[in-house]
Amino acid sequence: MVHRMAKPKSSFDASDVVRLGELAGISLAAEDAEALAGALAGHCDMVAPLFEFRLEDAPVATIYDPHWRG
Amino acid sequence: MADLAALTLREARDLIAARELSATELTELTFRRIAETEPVVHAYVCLDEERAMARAAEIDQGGATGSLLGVPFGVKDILETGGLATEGGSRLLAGNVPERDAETVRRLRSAGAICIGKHVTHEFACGQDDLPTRNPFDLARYPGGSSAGGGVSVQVGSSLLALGTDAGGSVRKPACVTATVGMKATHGRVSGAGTIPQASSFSLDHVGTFTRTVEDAAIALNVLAGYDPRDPRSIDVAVPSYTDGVGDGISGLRIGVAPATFRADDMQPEVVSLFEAALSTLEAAGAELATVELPSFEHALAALFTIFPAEVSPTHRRWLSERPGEYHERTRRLLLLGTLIPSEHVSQASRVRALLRDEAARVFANARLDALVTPTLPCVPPRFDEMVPGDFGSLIPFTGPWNLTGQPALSVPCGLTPDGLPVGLQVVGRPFDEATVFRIGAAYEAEACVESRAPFPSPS
Repeated sequence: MVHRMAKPKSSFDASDVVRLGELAGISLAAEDAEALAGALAGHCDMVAPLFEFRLEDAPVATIYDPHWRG
Repeated sequence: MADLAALTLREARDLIAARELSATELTELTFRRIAETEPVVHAYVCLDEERAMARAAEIDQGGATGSLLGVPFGVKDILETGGLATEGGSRLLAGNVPERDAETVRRLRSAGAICIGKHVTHEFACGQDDLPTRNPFDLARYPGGSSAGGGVSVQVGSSLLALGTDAGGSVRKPACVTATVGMKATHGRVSGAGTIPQASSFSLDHVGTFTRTVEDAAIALNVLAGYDPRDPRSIDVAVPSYTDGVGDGISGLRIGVAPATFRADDMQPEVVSLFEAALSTLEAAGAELATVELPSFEHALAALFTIFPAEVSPTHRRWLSERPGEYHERTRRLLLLGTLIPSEHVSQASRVRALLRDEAARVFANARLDALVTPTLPCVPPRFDEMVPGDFGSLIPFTGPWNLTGQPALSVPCGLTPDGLPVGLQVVGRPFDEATVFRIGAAYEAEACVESRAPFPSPS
């Protein structure tokens, strides 16, 4: 079975970013929000190919820590 | 009198051990060299002259032991130095003086090396702000980053060893553009304890070294490698002597090249030319070359540029809210991006990273590779006026993947272009097999005998 994830949203405006910042607990200056709207869209475009990977092909490492001595 | 502009770490150490040079003389020479070079290259943030001279005098009085007695070293300004300012290249840490040394600094001091001062870094090693540091090969060109001061200092002889950190190439890249040797060992091999948390992408970051020769890098790793309970990333595996076999040559070793992944089309022609010459040199030295493919690696930088800001940003939450104006604007925006990246991006990047790690392990095993080589950078050091501020993605396509896999990687000078600009050869090894990486680097260095000294620049 192949799992494909939806392509992330790649268009943002400054008000989107301000709201995201609020959700993250950070108040953003207007000029930062403007710049980050472009940066975030660019980031989404950049990572989109990562979502073409099938999840079962990407192994998840064990959480067991070999140094743990209990 | 020794010529610091030409001396290697091993030569300096041996001269001191033979009492042909005192630690005091070498330390004085180092500060004299700093006085000559700093007005031009700006590699240091601050100096620790009084304590360095006192330590040198102690060594000369006898009784001190160690494999690095009297060797002058500098430290990237994101690694803590007890009693000496550690400001991370940021106004936010102005006046910060740690009480204790980073583990790597402590180990070097314990081996008798003398800390000279702190080297220039990008703010919190994020690679975003403009630096005062200049490349001695051409003052109008990029000196490397984020460990910019380390490579420049070792190149001009204002230190014989420098500590840097490397989360995507920040040791190998400045080593490449300053024609020095840059080494990051396997992730977990060298302690990262004492790296200021605001500058550490904990799963990508490696503490590494700048030296003038591969043998010097092996001497340094003999001291730096080893388990450290202060660092949860540290791995408790046996540490061999890295100097014992460094001169054994490479006859019969299998070295991979991946031309479909690290493509000539993506490199400047001068880099292609010197890299191809390096491959011929490795073959002439007895290595067998094998062509391999790493198809998933085309996604490496997308994963790296997701994981890096996501790992660094959480340590900045309070300052981003309370003191945002004290960051350089581009650093602040990179860190804010790290707070906004959706968690599913980070999750998927981590899965892709695991895929890359498994692919590298499979390729190394199936092709029976002892190492793989690439150019360190796809280009010569760019001119400042050609660079897009804050955009270092184009500089790390060959170095960044090995931060994701955690494999050891070395950059060794690979010659100068007809314009006199340095190119680097990167040697990537199997996890915990730094010894073979050093063997290959040293054999190349000996066989190729490339020019790696910058003409000392005059002020422009």
